[in-house]
Amino acid sequence: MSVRATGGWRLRKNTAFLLMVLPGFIWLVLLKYLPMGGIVLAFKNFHFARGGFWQSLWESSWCGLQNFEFLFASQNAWIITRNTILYNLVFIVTGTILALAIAVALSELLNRRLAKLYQTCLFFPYFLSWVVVGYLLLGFLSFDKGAVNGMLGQFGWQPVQWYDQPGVWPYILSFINLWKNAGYNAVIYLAAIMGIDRQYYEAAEIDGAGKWQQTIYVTLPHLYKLIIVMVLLAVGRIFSADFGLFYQVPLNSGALYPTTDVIDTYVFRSLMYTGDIGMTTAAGLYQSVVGFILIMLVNKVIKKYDRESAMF
Amino acid sequence: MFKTGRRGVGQVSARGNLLLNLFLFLLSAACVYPLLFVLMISLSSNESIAANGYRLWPGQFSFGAYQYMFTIGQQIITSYGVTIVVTVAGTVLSVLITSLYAYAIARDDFRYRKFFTYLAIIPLLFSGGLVPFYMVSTQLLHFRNSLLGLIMPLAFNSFFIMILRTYFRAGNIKPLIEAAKIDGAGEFRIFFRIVLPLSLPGVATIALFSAFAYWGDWYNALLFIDQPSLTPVQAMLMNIQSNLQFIIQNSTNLSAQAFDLLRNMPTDAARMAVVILATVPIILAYPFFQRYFIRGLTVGGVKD
Amino acid sequence: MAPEGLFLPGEEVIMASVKVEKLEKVYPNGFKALHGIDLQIADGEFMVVVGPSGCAKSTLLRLIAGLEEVTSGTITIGDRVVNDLDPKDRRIAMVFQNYALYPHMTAYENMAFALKLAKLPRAEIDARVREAAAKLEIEGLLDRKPKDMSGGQRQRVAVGRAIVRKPDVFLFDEPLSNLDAKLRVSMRARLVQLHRELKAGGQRAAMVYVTHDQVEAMTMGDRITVMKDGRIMQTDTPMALYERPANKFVAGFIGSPAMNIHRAGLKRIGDQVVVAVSGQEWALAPAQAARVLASWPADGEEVWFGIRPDSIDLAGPGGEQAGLCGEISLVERTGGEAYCYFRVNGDEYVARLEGSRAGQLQPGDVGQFRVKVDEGHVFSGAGGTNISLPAV
Repeated sequence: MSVRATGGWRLRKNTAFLLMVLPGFIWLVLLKYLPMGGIVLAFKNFHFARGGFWQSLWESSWCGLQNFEFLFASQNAWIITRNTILYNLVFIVTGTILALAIAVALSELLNRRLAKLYQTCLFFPYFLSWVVVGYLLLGFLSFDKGAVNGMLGQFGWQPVQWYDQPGVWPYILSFINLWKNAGYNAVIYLAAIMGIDRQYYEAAEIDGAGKWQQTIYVTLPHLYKLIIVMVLLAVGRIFSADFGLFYQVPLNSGALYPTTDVIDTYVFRSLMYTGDIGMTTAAGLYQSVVGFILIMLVNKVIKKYDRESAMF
Repeated sequence: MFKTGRRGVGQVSARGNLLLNLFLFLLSAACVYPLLFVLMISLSSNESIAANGYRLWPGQFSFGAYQYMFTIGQQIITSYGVTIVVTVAGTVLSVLITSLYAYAIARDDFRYRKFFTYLAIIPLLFSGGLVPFYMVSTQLLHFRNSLLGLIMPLAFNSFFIMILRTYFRAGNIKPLIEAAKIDGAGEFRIFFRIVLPLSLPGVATIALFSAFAYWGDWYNALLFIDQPSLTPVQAMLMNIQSNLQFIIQNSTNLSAQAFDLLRNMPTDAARMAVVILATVPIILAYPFFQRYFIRGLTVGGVKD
Repeated sequence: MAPEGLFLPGEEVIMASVKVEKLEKVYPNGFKALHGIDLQIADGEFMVVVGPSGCAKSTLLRLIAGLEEVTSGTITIGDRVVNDLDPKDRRIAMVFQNYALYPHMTAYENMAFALKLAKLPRAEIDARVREAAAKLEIEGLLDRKPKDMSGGQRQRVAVGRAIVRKPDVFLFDEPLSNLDAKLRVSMRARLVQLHRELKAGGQRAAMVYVTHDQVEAMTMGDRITVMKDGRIMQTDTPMALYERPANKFVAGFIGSPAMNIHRAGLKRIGDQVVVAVSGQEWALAPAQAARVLASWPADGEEVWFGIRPDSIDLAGPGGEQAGLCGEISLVERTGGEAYCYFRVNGDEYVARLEGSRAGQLQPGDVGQFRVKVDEGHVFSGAGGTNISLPAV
């Protein structure tokens, strides 16, 4: 006699698990997957009409790729794409270098208590909201009362309208990004450094390597894999910008758009102020699709390079 | 993190150590200084700001800004209330939803775990973008001017799922689940009585990430809220900034009279005082919870 | 389906407590762990399942426990087919390799957890926990959490957690493998004693005990099941396994040091059978020869000849028959006895000698050994079946 495990047992076991995923499942469907369906808006000539959103959606006509043509015909598409990519590139390079420097410095410090204190300070800005960061910066850059103009005045120089000068903002935003995020990335590298077996350093010491050489020949090679993976992951996200940084920190100042507008801020403002739903959806979809392709490519590269670190 | 600090062989020289200290001290100072600066502005008297602009050491100290806020600042109390309610309710909700989901997909004997794992990961790779999200949120879910609009968008997070899954898959958990099964515990009891208490560090990490996210959230308020009675602290900060932005943008062609009028209100100090009040809870909480954050950063991967 | 009777040496016919029939387990990745297992374990019997790692002995245990799903076949506990029952409904208790004590509960809470879930009255729970604690001498530990206990203490709490449930079947999954050698020996004796006490107290629970350690198996089991690669090689009492191994695998697995097994040829001279091994030729005893003749392998096919180290001894002064002569490579002296390793014609042998008889033997010496050929076994070349065993 042979009895197969019946479906009953299996189902009973899985019912509990299905109940557990249910709330998350509903959330995912409503807030993630339903909006994915909403990308049809990008191919529609959408106008709010009487009868509300759903009826308008139903009744608005298909327009093929017209929204995309409209988007790319404008100067904006080029500017926001350029800004997004260039900023992210700068962030990746400067961020990685500074984070590594901090991590190595923290790991070599003789006084562990001090190291802990420094780390706490350096990690701290990461927890401030971009709104608060915007205020902190305003304390320095405010036209009439800011510390920077105050200092310029002492040297007898004219105060500068910082929030009117697009040329300086790439530097300011790059600096602010470092200020807020370097500590966070350093923590990740530091954890990896602390995981390196001490014996490598002892062996290097016996081989006559100085401290600097130990950093170059022991520490960095051990971090190599992690650095590559972190950089590649950042490259995968190169098409999306940190909305808060580009919206809050320049105080959404119109004069600065040429150098501070990125895809995310552009989409947001188009949605809130111009109301061109179709074209805005198209811009968002453009970002999502290119971002998706990039992530898949990066994952493939990582997989080839180091299976363990691949995302999926 | 520093328990295994390296000592003895391979130490830096005294001079090297000094240089490292200098480097790190300057960076640390740069990280802390701006907040200190804002604190001092909030403690400056109106007159000294008018005379000298913002100074690290104001000519004249004043608690006027804080007094001013608590006399006219009904909005501050309201906003604090909103933020606290949203943070507490949101954190509890998100920990519950996230940990249940993560636990189910961490269990090898859940038949559909692959499906639900992918379901959670895909949104990390592709999204419908802001506009469809906004339309669904406002037209279907009615998030506009509702606390739900502040709570729901942050109630589930695929990264949290991946972090928690790592905790739930730890080697010591599985035999205990089996022991509990033999002892006759049902799946929910196993989760709440055995797994959750044992994964407390992981759950605490998620709870903290979540609480900080809710506390610092202004984005969802920007999207959904325009009623003052539902405006959280961060969004209120943003609103009073818009006025300031107006001042800045028009300061070149502002009449002297209007300038005087503005200067007579302790607006600058008051705004900075709100910044301080919005940040104080984080300043107080962060050092204690730092290690949870660090742990959260260093565990968890999306991969199966 | 009526449970069948089962005969155990020295006991009357009793009911099978656990019956496993044609049990198969295939994992989702296609790996077939169990290939149709048939096994019966009697009421009150201590059954040890032993085998090398990867033989699926733990899988068998987990299937009985209900921790994994049966692919095909049936498992019966008492008179119920339990294939579709939850672990809690199978009237079993299990002791895990790592004890699996709940770290956030005290010893008392650990032991009481299952009873609480079963909604037993508080007084009953307390009585059972205290009774088990007394039996295991852990009354003093009841308020401690696992992290404040030694390995041996945790082990006893884990056993206590199983006892309080008064199950029909106890399942042990290598429960002693995490203890140090000395503790393992004493826990071994304690578990056997516990089994006897439970039985004497009227609790005729069956024990299924999985281990990879053949010494544990030999010393604890009423019967032993030897497994390999998801199949049962032999099930029998310890001494029967030792003296009458059904095949080459069991012969090599049971006993320490392991049986000497080498390639051999068989020759038939009249009704005599001569085995040629390591350059020697020995005539089998008549009874043995008759049995080998009964399952005579194909002509020219090689077989294996196995002889236990106990059946090899130093030769007396006068040259005797059935001798081995070889250079000694190693002598391990454990005090009362000595294991003498030597090499004959390229084949390695080990002999177990009385300590005093090993005398002055040194590596490099040439030793003369005498072999009790009638205690040897002949295994078929292809399947490794013991063809010198008396038919059952």
